[in-house]
Amino acid sequence: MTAPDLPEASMPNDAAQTKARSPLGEAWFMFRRNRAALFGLGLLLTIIALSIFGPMVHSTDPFKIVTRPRQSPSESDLLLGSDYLGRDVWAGLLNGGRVTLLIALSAGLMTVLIGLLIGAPSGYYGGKVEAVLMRITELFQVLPAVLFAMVILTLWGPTVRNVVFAIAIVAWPQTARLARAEFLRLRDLEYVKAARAMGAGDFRIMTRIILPNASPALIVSATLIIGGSILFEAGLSFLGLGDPNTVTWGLMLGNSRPYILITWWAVTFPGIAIFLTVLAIGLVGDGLNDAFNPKLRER
Amino acid sequence: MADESNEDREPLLSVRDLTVEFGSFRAVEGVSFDLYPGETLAIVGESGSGKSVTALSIMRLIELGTRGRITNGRIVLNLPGEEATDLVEEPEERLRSIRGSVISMIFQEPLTALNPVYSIGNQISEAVRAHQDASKADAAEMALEMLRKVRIPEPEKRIKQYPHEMSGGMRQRVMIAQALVLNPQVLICDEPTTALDVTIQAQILRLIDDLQQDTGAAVIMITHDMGVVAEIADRVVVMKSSRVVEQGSVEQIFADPQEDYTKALLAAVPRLGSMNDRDEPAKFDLVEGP
Repeated sequence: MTAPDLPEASMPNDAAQTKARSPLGEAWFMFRRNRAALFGLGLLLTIIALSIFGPMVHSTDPFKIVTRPRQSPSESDLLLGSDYLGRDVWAGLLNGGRVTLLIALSAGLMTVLIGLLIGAPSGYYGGKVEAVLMRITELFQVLPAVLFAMVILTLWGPTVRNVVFAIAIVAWPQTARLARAEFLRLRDLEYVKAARAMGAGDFRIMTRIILPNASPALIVSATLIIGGSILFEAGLSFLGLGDPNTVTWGLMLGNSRPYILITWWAVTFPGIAIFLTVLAIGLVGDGLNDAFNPKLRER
Repeated sequence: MADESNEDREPLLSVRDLTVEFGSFRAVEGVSFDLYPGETLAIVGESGSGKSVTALSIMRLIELGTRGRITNGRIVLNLPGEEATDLVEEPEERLRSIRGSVISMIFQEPLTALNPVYSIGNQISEAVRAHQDASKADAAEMALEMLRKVRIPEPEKRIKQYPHEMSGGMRQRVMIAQALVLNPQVLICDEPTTALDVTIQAQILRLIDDLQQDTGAAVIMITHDMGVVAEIADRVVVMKSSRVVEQGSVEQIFADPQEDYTKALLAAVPRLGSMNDRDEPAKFDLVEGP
């Protein structure tokens, strides 16, 4: 053991007493120790910043034909070349990032919201409430996801709002089951009983007592769902079911697909963008898991 | 049988013929006792004798989660200046306003009875704000005052701390502060000292006793420790296998126990020097059913 380590190691209690760390502060401390997660966070923030500020700086309309078709990055003065119609791929990436991230984020939030509304009461109340809600959940769970989303988009039209809705409707059963499991685990704990003994009602207990304790698991799963949403949206756009009036990475990929052998750059760069974003979100999710997992925490 | 001094007083809480069932299993059967204002009533018995279920039934906390049901009996709360109400019949909404403000409870495990995501000050003020229309600042002030009363050192600093930063004894003090912040008439303690070591046990018992002198609350102390009973109780209810075996004043129970089971319980407390001249541990006497 090295000398500088000694004081801290021998008096852990003093350290804890002089520095009151909130659960969130503690989570950040654990998150920072995961290098890969920090890298993912940096990458994600860069992608978000590019998506927000990129279109302001590089203001080319991604749908406008600006040069000859199929210009490779090296023979064109455009950063990433032009696609089969002569549109700016780099402008498409920047603008597409905005929509892609927005769709993923909204779909993730909506998924967690629906999942909580269904899962929380079924875990908390159990019995008949649980039986009914969980059968509904299973009904949605056994429907083939892509097919179901395609039906929704074909029926109601491929707008951004409907895409978000379609993703959420196929993704929520998983969150509902997780929420149910967490609420079921937490509802019989002593501090929930104590809160009830202090006069808290069901709604108060669910929202103020159980939810904050269930949120680590839900947050981690939400990050994974956001990553999955990007892939799912790309899949839908690839199949031609994305909003044709809004550029997304999936749409770019899907549109340029027939020309993959002669304009590889128009397919590769949106693909790389999707890959990096999903990777970054996955790493952050992993880091959050470390941060919230009490088993990995040392006191 | 009861204390003479109680004859002329109205009981604050009287439990009559209480029966609680879990499915077909009767956890509590025909239990009756009275709680008088300001006194300490101990309910003693071994594990599974139904003492904790009795306590939870008084709070009407038995239904959710554990799926127990009160199938018979009355729990009459008789507050001075108010009409007597049967808690078994009351709607959930009224029960909610009673829990925490009229009847409070302290649990066995101080390590898990505090919510890990809130600071302790936050938790105590939450309890206040669940019942009263107090501002955040007022509630925090009450919480601080209560932490002082349960003699937590440096309450101004402690109030911002989280449960995991405190020791078991400290957390039990916080639990007591939370339970007593609204000046309840009845405090139910479900083995409050079982999870604590002996010196802390004594401190906590003394603290409960002192606070009881201050506020005049009646205390129901659930325990299996006859030492605790002797220390703080006025009257004792002895339970075994879901039923009340014997009840009476603490003097009478200790000096002249009527039932074999009570005698056996008392004999289970080791006496200093009782092991002299023996070279192996003594076995307990077996007790047959009531």
